[in-house]
Amino acid sequence: MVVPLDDVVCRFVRPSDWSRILKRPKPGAFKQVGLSVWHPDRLEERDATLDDLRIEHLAGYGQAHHTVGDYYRFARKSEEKDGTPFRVQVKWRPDDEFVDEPWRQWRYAHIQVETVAGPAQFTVSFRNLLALKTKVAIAPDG
Amino acid sequence: MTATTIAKSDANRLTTRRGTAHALNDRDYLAVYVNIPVPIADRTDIRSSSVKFFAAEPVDSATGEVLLWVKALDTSAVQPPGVFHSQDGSPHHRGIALWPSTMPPSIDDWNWSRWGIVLQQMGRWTDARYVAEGIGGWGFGPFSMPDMDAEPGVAWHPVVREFAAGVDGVAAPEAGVVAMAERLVRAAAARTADAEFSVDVDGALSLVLRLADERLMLAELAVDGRLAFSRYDDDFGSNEEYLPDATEADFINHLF
Repeated sequence: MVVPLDDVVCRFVRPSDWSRILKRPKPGAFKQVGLSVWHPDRLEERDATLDDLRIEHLAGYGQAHHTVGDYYRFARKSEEKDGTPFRVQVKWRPDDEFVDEPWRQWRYAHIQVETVAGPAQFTVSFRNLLALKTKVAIAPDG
Repeated sequence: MTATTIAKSDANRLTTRRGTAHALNDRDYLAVYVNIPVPIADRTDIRSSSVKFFAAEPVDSATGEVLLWVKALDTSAVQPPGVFHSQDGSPHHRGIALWPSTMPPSIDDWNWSRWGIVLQQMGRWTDARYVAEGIGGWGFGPFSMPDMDAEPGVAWHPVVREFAAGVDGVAAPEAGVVAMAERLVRAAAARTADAEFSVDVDGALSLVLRLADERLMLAELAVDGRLAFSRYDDDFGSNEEYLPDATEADFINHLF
């Protein structure tokens, strides 16, 4: 199931992926094949917040917010720049396969950004756009 | 902040300090003001004879290695940290050497004479390249005055050591790629106003650079040696120059 384009999603950013110079995430924050992001409004509907999820290894992590439409738009721009096909899809992914404990209690808000062509890393230009065009950037603790 | 005047004769008293390592936070900036002797004061592009030091990243807690930057106090609009113009006013930018050794426990314990010799050498602009390459190849490693005449030894930048070690599940880079990483990091550290280096989850070396003219540059060296970078007019990515399959020379040329 796809996620509406105007919905905002959050990517948690490890401290080492945070740029002091950019005051936002480095492009490396968006490197995983199958990028896990979370839907803050969906969390809020069930009286949870993004902060609740900042436990275990996510403790102290920063946040990078984009709209779902940003992901699609940046993929198109990346495709134009590189001249090679590059498409992504943004899907609800609540299954155990995609959500580890102890975050499964919030599985209903879990989304994954994937390449359409199958498991592959995002392009450099796509990751650069995600980093530089982060709508809301919250620095890691400390 | 402390103000200190360094006499020329201090250069003759240069020693290598062996002190207690001081763990600077990687977000700390240590600004030290000094008055430097004649050479830089003669330059027309710096009205004051003062310069500003920034001791910043990265600090290797194991060795106490630290990176220093220099900035002219009264030319902040023109010269970002780490950048000097040549005496003839040409646009060639140069960086200051990186500084090794342990950090003293407080600012009052800094060995001023050591700063003095660097400043004097940097002040003689024609010697700047010699200084930069003489101190461990822009780099890290024990420093003492006689070493400045010696061939710089190989002293890997801490982030390059991390890059070379690789990450779980990804093949470590080959020696040639590691050597390239070292050259890229040295060039970026010496020729930019501000630089951040890190290793990504896939083992790639990531560089976020603020250039001397305030433009922004993002670069990535993959473990297989592929180099990509983008240069922008500002933080929000306008007027991008994008080289997805760049060479080392491309990268160096775009630092200016």
